[in-house]
Amino acid sequence: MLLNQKGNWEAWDPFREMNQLQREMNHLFSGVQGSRSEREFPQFNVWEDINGLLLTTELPGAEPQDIDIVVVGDTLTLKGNKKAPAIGENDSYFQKELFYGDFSRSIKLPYRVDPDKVEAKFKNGVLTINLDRPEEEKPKKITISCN
Amino acid sequence: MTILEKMEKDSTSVPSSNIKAQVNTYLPRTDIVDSEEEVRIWAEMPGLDNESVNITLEKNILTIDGKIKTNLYPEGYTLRVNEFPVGNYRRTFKLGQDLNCEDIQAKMKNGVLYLVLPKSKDSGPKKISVIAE
Repeated sequence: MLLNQKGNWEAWDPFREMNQLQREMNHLFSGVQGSRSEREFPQFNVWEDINGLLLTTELPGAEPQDIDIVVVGDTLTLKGNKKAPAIGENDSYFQKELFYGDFSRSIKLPYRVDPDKVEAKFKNGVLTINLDRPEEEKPKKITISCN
Repeated sequence: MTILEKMEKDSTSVPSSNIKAQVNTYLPRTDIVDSEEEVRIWAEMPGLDNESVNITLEKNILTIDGKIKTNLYPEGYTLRVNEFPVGNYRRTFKLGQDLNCEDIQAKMKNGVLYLVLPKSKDSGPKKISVIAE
């Protein structure tokens, strides 16, 4: 009886159902996720150091005056417009892979940032945004005193 | 060194020399527009300026080659979210015989390479009239 119980304990995995559920959910959303990532434009790379965040995003062909960055609390919204080049009436696309038009994306930052201390530059089609981590959000070093 | 400092250090200081080694090459997204007098190509190569792009034409194979110069790993930073890869660009195109390869124009602006390939005058479209019988 005891042996049997032990055996049962070993066979019992408290996370099995959760894992199963997760697998099913992943399967269910896998198709949606694919199309969602395509829709999520622009794409971000986020770098972090102790003083804040560095965001990079690729916006080739965009003009800096057509890009807007709005930071509210811990949300950053990047929107803008990429103008398509003029194509003559009798011209035809042999190949079309580029995206033109309006874009907008909001991303959640790991902490609130000071909107006055956001710096952005646009060079060679790459937008770089520097976000300062406020003093109160910085990790604190605690000194331990022993008497 | 406190534990917090160590944790911070361990998580942030991936030796940059280790990850610098591999730079992948990607196909730039490209639009090609065919007009009566020329073929125009737009290729997206964000991060590159005019000096980092090489265009070569061998026989009728046009190759655009871009080498990224910017530091892929900003010093002192840890990559937290990676949605797009950064690297070199390379793509080849086979040109038709009717293009005038001598007069190819190339411009680079905001990370987009723009090429204009004029068509040869003599091989313009010929209109063939159909005779009614």
